[in-house]
Amino acid sequence: MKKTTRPALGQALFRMRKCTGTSQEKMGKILSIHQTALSRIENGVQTLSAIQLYLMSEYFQVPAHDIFNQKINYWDLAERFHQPHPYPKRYQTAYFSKVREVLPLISFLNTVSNEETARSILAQFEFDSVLFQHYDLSISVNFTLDLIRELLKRRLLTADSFNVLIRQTWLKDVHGSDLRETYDNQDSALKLIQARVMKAEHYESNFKYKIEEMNNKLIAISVTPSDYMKEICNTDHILGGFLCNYRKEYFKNFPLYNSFRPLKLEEHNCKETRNYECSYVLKTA
Amino acid sequence: MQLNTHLNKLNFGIRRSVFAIFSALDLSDQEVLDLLELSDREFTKIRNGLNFQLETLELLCSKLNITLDHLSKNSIDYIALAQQFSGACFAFPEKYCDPQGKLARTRTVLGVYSYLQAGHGFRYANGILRKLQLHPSLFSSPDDMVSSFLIQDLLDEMSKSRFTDKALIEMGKNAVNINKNTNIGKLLCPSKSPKELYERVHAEVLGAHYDMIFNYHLANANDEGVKMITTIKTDAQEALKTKVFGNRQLCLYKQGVYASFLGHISKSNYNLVESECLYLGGTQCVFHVTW
Repeated sequence: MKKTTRPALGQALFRMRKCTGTSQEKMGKILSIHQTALSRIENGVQTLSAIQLYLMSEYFQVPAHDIFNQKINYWDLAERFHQPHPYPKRYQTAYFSKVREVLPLISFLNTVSNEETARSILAQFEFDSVLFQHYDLSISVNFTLDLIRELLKRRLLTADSFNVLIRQTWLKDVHGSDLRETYDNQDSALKLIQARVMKAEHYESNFKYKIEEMNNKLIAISVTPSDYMKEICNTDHILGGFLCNYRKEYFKNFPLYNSFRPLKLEEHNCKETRNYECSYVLKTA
Repeated sequence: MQLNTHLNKLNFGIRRSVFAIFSALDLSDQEVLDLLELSDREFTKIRNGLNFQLETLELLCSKLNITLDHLSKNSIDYIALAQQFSGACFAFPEKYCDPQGKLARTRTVLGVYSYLQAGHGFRYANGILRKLQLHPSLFSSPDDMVSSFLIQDLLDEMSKSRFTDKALIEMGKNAVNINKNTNIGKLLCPSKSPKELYERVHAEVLGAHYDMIFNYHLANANDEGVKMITTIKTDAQEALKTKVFGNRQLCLYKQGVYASFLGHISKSNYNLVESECLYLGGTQCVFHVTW
């Protein structure tokens, strides 16, 4: 059965062209076609020929096999062409988040809304889920926060749907192979939390996590926001409050990732209204 | 004019590769039609000069475990292709068949493959092997000897696919999963300290279960860390006909493998530094692990 991936290839051509700052005129010359034809290909109306794919491959220095299979590292492509990363301008600062931190949110969005709504929300931020292929890439925390704000505003993220979001964080696919290997090797809920805290920088660097105490019954964690995050939380208390609650639920339930029982959480010092510095103790139930 | 010449060259190259495939596989006209899923009429047009459609080329490539790039670069090993097509999926491309060059172990390929499969899926992992005209079923037993050049090409391919230095180290760390339920796991798990672990690694694991290209020497071991030195064996230099075999990617992968051993005793707090590298102007590779 032959694959029909032509509209997707047109989109890939569009993205690659944008990422590399190549004008339609130049691309047309490279592919030896008129700009109108190029537009039609990019919009999926006209098909891309084999020779055009090979010409793309030569120009972008990306194997034809990778272009055909949509395995394109747009970030790398942009760097090689000395172009800014393929984010909207407002997301080209504060690279404190990682792709793997955003994946549960995207997965949640696809679960609680239909595909079209999910796409339109991401499009609103000029983001495309196809860009989220490399788990370890740093992205702007502003994108993560904007997405949360939008979900709260649209009432997609509510007290009722909160658990659905938490559930997306247990999906093995959101962590990537190296972290999965670490987590899969933990033999208790507390050790799993310990491993997760120690790997925190693989998710984000907005908060500093510290294990204050640990024995075979409990683990005490303190959380301190970065200056950037402190400022954001202090100007947007709804968001700050959400992040605080989310983190607590996340840690309590993360043992379910390895099919362990959830932990009990005792708040020791959760200053939601001041600086958002929290500390809590997680105990085996 | 120049572009037209280039297009003609490109077209000619692809057609030449495709028709060379038919000839290498000794296909009848009907077999060609079946393989390409084309009608007689469609194929007659192609024979008369019409270009192949993209989907037709990709279909051909996926059925023969090659890539679109093999066609344009004329880099197909036709003998291996014919053998694989006739059902011998255990056929390696000729450049990996020289018995003198078989100084590495399948274990390394499995480490990379399982990393790719876990993080990017089977399709992607198989796609990387496909770029080297290799089939995953070639790599079932970790202790099998494989061509040293295959390992070098595979890691080079990782680099071309833009995997970072960190990712290459992580691929090496994946060795803990490959080795867990093998003799290596059984040998290393009872170690009571990291020091004892690395002593066992050097005495019983590296020589017997890893490649025969490098000398692995435990230069120093105490309760706080170890210092390990690797150099290329003289007989490997002769067999591989090069003084410096390997590349920086191989060294990064090796760093991960060294770190992976600690996984057998669940030691996750450690620091690994490479202070000298053969591929960065050094005379040997020197690794320090502290915990």
